[in-house]
Amino acid sequence: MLSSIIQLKRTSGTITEFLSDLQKDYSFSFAYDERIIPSHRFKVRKQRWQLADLLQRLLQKNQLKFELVNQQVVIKKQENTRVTVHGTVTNKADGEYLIGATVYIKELQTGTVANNYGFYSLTIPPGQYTLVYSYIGHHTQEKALQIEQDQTLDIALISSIDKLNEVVVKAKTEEEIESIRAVQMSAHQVEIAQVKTTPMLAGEADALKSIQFLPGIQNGSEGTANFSVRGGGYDQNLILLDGAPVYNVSHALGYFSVFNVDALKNIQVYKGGIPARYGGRLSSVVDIRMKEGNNQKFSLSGGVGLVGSRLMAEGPMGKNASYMVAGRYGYLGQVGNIAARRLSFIPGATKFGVNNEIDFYDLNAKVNVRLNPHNKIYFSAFAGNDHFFNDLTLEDNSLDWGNQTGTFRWNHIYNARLFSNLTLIYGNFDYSYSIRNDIQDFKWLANQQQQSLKLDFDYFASPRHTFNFGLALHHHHFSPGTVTPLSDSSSVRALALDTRKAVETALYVSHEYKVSPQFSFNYGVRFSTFHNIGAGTQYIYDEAGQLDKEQHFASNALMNTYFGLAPRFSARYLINAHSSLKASYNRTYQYLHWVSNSTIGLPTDVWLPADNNIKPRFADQVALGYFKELKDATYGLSVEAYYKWINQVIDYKDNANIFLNKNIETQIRTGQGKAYGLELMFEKKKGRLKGWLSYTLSRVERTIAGVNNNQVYAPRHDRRHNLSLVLSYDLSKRWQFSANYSYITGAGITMPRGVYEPGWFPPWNSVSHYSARNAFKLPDFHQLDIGFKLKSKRKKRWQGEWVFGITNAYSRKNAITYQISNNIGGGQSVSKLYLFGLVPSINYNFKF
Amino acid sequence: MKKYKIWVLLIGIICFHSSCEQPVDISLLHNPAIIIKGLVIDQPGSYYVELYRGSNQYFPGTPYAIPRFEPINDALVILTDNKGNVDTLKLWERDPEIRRSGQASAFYRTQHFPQAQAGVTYQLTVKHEGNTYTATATMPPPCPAIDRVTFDLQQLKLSPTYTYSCYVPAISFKEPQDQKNYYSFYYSFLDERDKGIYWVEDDLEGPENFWPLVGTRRHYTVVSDHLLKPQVNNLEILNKNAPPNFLGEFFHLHDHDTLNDIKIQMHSITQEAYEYFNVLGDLRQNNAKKLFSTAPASPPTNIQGGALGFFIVASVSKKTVPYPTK
Repeated sequence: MLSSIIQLKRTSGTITEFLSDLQKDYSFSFAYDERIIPSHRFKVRKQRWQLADLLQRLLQKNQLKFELVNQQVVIKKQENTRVTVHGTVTNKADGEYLIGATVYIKELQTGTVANNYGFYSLTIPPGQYTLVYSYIGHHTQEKALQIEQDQTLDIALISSIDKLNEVVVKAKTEEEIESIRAVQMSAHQVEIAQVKTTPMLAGEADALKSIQFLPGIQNGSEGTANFSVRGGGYDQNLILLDGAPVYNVSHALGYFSVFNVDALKNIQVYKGGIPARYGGRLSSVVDIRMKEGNNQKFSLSGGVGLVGSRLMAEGPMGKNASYMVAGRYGYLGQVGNIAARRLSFIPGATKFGVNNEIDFYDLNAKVNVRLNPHNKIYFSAFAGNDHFFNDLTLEDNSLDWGNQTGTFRWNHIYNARLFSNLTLIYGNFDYSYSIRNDIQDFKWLANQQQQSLKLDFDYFASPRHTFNFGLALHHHHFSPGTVTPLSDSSSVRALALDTRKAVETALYVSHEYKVSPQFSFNYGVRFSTFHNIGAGTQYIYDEAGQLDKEQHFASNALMNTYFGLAPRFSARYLINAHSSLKASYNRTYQYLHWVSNSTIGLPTDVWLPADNNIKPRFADQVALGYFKELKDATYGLSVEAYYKWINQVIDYKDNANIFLNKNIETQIRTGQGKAYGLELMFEKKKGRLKGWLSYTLSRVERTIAGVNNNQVYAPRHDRRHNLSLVLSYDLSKRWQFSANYSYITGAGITMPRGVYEPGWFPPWNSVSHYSARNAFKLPDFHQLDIGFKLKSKRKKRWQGEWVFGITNAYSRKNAITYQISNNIGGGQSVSKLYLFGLVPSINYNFKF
Repeated sequence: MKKYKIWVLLIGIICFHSSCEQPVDISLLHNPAIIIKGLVIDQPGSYYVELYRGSNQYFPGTPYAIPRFEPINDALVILTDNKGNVDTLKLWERDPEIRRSGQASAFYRTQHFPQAQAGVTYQLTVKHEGNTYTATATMPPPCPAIDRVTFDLQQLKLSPTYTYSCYVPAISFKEPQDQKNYYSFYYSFLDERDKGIYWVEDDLEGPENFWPLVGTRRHYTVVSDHLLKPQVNNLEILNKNAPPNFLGEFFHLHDHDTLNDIKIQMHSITQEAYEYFNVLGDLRQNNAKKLFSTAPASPPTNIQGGALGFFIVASVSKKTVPYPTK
């Protein structure tokens, strides 16, 4: 019957009219509920139809379907073929969103990952399902439910670290094994709890130093906060705090980083396969998120240590809001001075000097308000400042520096599948330094600001298709320096370097496609543009680096434009339930250059925008990885290999003259760089003993005309072997032992080979000649740090813990540099400068 | 009180172990390069080449660290040009007294090489211990004539408390605007006060084609023409070598009477030579900035084959003027 050919009398009319015609002319029988039939009119193009085609045409668009029952055509409402479950995943105890929590559907063997705001969405056919929610450090929760229509399901997971709720941890199921299943490779999610157990200098838990134990991430120089990711320079890491870039991450010259771990919730590190939503730096992204604040109850926590103390308060504000405020103050200088004065009888106690001025503070604050189920706003702010004067390390130089960031965010859920986040960002970094001696006596002030707008969308089309897209707009302002003489005797004249303005824009889209349970891939593209904006002066130089022309631009005039198209690609192939193979390619662009005016990296280093003289840098990276889980995900093993090409890599030319140089771009040269390496990581994720062992074999090379006499050279961060061990062991319910060890091949250093020309009055202005750039190696770095934690007996609310630590347990004198001095009385001598030997620490932390 | 003691003890341990210097054996670093410096100018006469090994060994017992250079006396030094002229340079024996300042170089000079000319390319080849070092440079167009030399009495601030008055020579000449030019200026005088002072080199007392070769150790300055007008009036020759302390006095023309005439040379040099002199001047001045400087590097060179130094080919104009009087 459905295949009969019919000839229509009409080509337009309502469904009911068409059906009654058919009933009359061909005696077909139809059964339907009139309420479900729409009353509007339709048009069809032709009159001759096969009955089934016609019905299909009339009904399908109106969510109706038909079937033949006993020679009667029954028309009914089409059932949902796709329904969406969405919601947020939070931590039960404090209501914090769990970024990256996985939601897995057992029956479909598929799932999704909660985004940066704990939001997840799964679009699936209706049916009976078991949803499994899991997150590292939390007990897995299973929900069995009948899903017939769209629904919201917010889940709160119970932390497995919180010993108050001892729950028997059941055997782990394969669906939890996110590191195997995720398409993303070359990424690490760092648990704050892990950061807090890693022993650090003076017992100050440090987020950025902890990630330096991961494979492929290498400490720049002891005592600095710099790090290099997969052979990238220290300025190639995008460090975001709640989305705002932090330009300088050092406290006390880099002994500590500026992030107070009490205020942090999550750290995500990308070394490769960088998602399209991130851009602006070549080598890595460190995305740090602050806590939202406990929305269940008020809580106060803090700690007192040898060189710093902390306090953090969080709690609910009414029913739909919560806050978090955290502060930290460091008093390294005062401690040193007291020691030097009181303990002058101990040899070496006064070595650190009695005139130290080393202090810092940082403040974090965050408020979040849930306006309604579809709208949520957040405001977060960070401020940190440092003052540093120590004649031993920096002679007459006194430094002050600080960062401030502010972020406003608005999460909006358009519908169960479309999530958006609007971010407004303000970032500021200033530094000043003064040289306190008679001849130079001056103060240098520099500042850098950024305002940004970002709009990001996550579209969860189906469990097989997820789309991310968005845009970003940044406004940069640079004031690289003004110099003011501090006294009449100063030989330095007042000077102001040109201020610069720039606008950076980006558009991106990416699509994650789960082709089959075995094979998934993610591809995307990020298109960015960069514009130098007036008021400003463009300098054009001749081949000898002499200023040829100056071109002045009015306010907001376009001076120069660059753009870049950056493809991103990642793929994952599941070999079996316990192992997978991944590959990725990414291109990244970087429009801001950090020109380091010191070999070790100091807060005085300047950021400069790309311009007509210094082109933007871009890098291509390919990576291949093998990931395996053993014994129900108790152990994890990963092997990754990468190769990276860095184009327009920058460095100062040989014999650059940078001191108070108004045209610093004439001292910079660009060329080609490459980096490659192999990373191994073996991890134990559960049990009383937890930790990892990682090893990286790597190489970095650069070829830049004008640097190292045009020959290939290895930058300072080219260090062949890097071994790290991080361990924590629960000795008993109250005692925990932790240790970390790292071994890194010595950094490269350029050393004098001899004198080139004598001085007129030697040795005061003699000229030396040197080895090739970084041709010598400092001794290998290795260090063992250990810590013990004693938790107080459990009382009602007060939880306290003593943390005892020893940094550099076997007192290795790791050289940060060699110093060469001309001896009065003839000859030269070389000495190695090291920062510290064994450093014990004691801290007390509390929470109630 | 007990807690306080623990605190103090801990701080004590930290300080005991904190930041320090430890001596390192530097014999590993002893690997000095061969340094070759040559000067060919568009003037008649012999041309000179200096050869030594830059050392990091020092004369023992001297009150100040004076490097013990090693002269290279057994090298084969050949000068050629692209017109087919070849000359093997001969070791030039100088007054041994000259070495008292610690400068121990070997000098070679041409025997019969024709006078150098603008536009001709010259090549210097040095063979020593199985290694061959070469350098090539082309003679720039003739150097403009020095029209006039004047002296400006200036107060130089050599330290916050020490001001010194001296004469700064100023040169006037016509600058050809249709080409890119780089100039170096040298002046030489023998100061009566310097005589008998052991650190004074009498390098400046050599032949006219010789003293500017070693004159970079004393009084010189370099400029690029890019800001120069067609008529350059009273361009000051500030000494790039003067140290920023009381010793700077010895690097300038005193305002007291001195007997000798002042010999002035103006060289038109290549762009590479101009950059070399600039860097050399900076290196002398910036000896001490450690933390705030980039990785150090050797002075640039145009010598191929692993040696350092520079082969300079320059057109020259000269003037001798009496010492200025008040």
